[in-house]
Amino acid sequence: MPVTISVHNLKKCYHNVQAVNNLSFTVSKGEIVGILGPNGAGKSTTINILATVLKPDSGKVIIAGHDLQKEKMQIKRVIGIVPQDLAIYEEISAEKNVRFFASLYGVSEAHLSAQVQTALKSVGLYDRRKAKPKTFSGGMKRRLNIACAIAHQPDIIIMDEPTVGIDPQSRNHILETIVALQEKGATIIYSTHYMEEVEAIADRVLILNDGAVIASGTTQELCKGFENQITYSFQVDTTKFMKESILSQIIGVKEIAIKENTIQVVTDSKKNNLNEIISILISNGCNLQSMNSEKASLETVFLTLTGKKLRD
Amino acid sequence: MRNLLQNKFERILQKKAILVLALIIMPLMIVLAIFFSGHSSIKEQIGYLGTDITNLPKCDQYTVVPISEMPKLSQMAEGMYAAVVSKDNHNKYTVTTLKSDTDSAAIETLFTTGQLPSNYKGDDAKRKERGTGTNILGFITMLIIIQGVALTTMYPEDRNLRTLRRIMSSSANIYSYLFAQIIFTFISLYLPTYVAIILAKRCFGAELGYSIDLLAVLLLIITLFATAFAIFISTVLDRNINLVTSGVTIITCVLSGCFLSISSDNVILMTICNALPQKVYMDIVHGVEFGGHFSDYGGELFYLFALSMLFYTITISVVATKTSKGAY
Amino acid sequence: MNFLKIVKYDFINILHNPALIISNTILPVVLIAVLGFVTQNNFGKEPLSAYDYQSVNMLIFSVSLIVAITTSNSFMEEKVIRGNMRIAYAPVSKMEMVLSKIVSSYIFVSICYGMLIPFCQYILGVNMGGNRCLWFALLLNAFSFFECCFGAMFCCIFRSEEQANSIMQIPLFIFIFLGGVLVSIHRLGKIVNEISYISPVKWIVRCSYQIIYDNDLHLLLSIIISLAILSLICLLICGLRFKPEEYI
Repeated sequence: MPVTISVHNLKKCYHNVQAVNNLSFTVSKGEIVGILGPNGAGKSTTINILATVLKPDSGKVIIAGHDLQKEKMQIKRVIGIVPQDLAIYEEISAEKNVRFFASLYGVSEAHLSAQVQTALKSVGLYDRRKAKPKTFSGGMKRRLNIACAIAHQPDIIIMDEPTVGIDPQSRNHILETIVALQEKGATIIYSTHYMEEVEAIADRVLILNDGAVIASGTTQELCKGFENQITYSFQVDTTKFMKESILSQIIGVKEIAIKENTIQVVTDSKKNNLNEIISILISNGCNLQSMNSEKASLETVFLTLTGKKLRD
Repeated sequence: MRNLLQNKFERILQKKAILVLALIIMPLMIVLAIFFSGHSSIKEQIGYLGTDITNLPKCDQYTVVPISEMPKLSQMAEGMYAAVVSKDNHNKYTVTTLKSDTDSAAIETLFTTGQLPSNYKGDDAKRKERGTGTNILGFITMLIIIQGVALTTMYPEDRNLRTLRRIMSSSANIYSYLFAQIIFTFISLYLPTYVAIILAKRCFGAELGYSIDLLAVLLLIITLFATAFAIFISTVLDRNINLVTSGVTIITCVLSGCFLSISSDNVILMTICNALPQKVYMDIVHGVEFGGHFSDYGGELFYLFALSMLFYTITISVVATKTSKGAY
Repeated sequence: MNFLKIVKYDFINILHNPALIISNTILPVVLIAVLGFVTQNNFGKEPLSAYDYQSVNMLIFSVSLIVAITTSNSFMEEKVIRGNMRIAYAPVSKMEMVLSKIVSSYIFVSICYGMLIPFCQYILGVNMGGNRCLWFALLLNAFSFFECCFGAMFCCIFRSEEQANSIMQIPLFIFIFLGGVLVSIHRLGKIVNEISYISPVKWIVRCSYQIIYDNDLHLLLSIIISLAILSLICLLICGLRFKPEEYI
């Protein structure tokens, strides 16, 4: 697949904080790339740079063959942006909103109506096209926010947390829309905090931390190093007599978290140490009430790579 | 309640535009208004178009100056001359003025007899008769009403940011929130205005027309009303609150005689004007300046109080309706 | 082409704001009626009545105060700001974004005052110079454009409609006060009179009176050129201060 977005050594500093630090990645044509990262990782800064509204301090960005520093307008024409905020006019109808934003991208009058109709249908708002967004639910506004970005049928669509605060039905519809757009040939960059969304739709995932890519690949590739890792969660009546140091002596145990009535143990599944863990729990006064196990997921990988410390 | 009030004061510190307006611009405008009211403006000029410029009439209301040519109408409209007087070959004076026929006749009398009619009162004399304090408080009334709405800005902001919903879901309900807002608006409105007036008196020795204590009470009355109006308008309007307030306030203040006394034969219009709260307030202000006592204005005070209560009642009912509909 | 589309939608957004429509149409007429009524006892009937005098003053007053607020509202009012800033993602330059708000509000107020002046002259029958009211309309139109640029400049400097409107009112009230629209400046002494020449409103008032009452157009061209220069300065500041990324 030909590369359609190429980012090389991108840097951006705000008030002495390095928001993006030597960021490099590529996106192939027709790919859905999910961008994950904790708050302050540089996701939105990267997206705003790709959207040409923010100037990088240094680095090279090529989008659809155009150099970001020199051919901003050409890049804008091939991109559709779904901003995190609901960037729509509340007082004019949904159809007029979509028509207006599409018209700014040079869609001819002859095609405009058809493309607006397609966009509204694809987000499931065609029947409500005459209504004003101020009468819409949060999910409908989010879908309209997307329609405004796709009506000009861009080759590249950049979405910045497009599903924040909406119901599962709307979210599901949005994800289906994104996959449909990919099937029509669009390249999509999808930034989110929801791991399951990325797992559902992304061909490849970039994990950002402190302004740089710290891991990239398909979900399977990212989980590869963690395939032998299993997390056991034990519900117990009390953890009063249990100490981390006791469990950590068990071969294969990597991580232990003891809370009021829960003990979480991350361990190497190949070591077959479940019996040993349970017997130690019982011998240390923990009355086992229930238990479950979970294999490594994208979230496990994410938290392992970026840490569990709270971010600003 | 205390927390809500504290929250208001903490947030207003971050709103520099409103702070500058409330603490600098408003007091400055009040000081300037007091300064200009006390400052004797130069007398209106009458241009005399003629050759015999010795023994031009003199009076305490106009200055007569000789001119060599007839001023243009635009210059008269700009206020350079209150009137132009010329004398024809038969020693008859002709007065050209934009002023009323009464003024015109009085000016002619000034030239023919050397003095103005004894019962004549020009614009300056009328303003003086109105009272310095009434003129100052008339202007301040408009400022306080407009500023009151600006200081209530955090209430619509809380609705937009949905922080009001959060407050409503806590033990502090909407009514304690509104009460905190009322106290906040009142304090932020009353204190800077009162301090500005005292400063103007102390610094310029300005004549206010009232004792400081009396002024404190008069200011209290209009501030209480302005607070009720601010809460009311911020509740019923969702957008363009400041714009609508400015328009409504300027018009009603002019009609209430906050700047100039008004009188008309039109009964309907005068009934409307007399019903305006600012007009009722101006009646109190004028009466008190000329020796009246508050007890003489029980009806007027009750009217202002009742109107404020009506604003609060409408506010509460609108809030209750909107809350029940989940609008907040 | 994009520019015209944005202007069109900005214009539609203004039409969806009843407060702006009322402020630019009904409010000036009400002000004329109220001020005319209040001051009628101070004026004779000839050569001009209180209503003649106040209609000119109140139209200038409305343009001075409300037009700038109209632009700041069409630019950054809460209900339109997000949509407006989304335009930054489209192939549109930042100056097109600013200019579209200025032009749309300018067209809007031009229509409003373009109708108000003949309405006052021919329907209400107040003296706006008869057929010379066209020159007065031209002057107010140039002043409106400056006010639109002035409003946009404050938005670009303070980055919020609320702040821009609050702060903007200070210089506007000073201009209006010094312009002598509300009180006669000549009465306040020589110093205040000299200072008043810095107010654009003073020059607009003087030129308007000359056009309407003296049939004298000699100030008109120089004032229009001065307003154009002032508008350009405001636009320059807009260009330097407006950064769409700060709103995204």
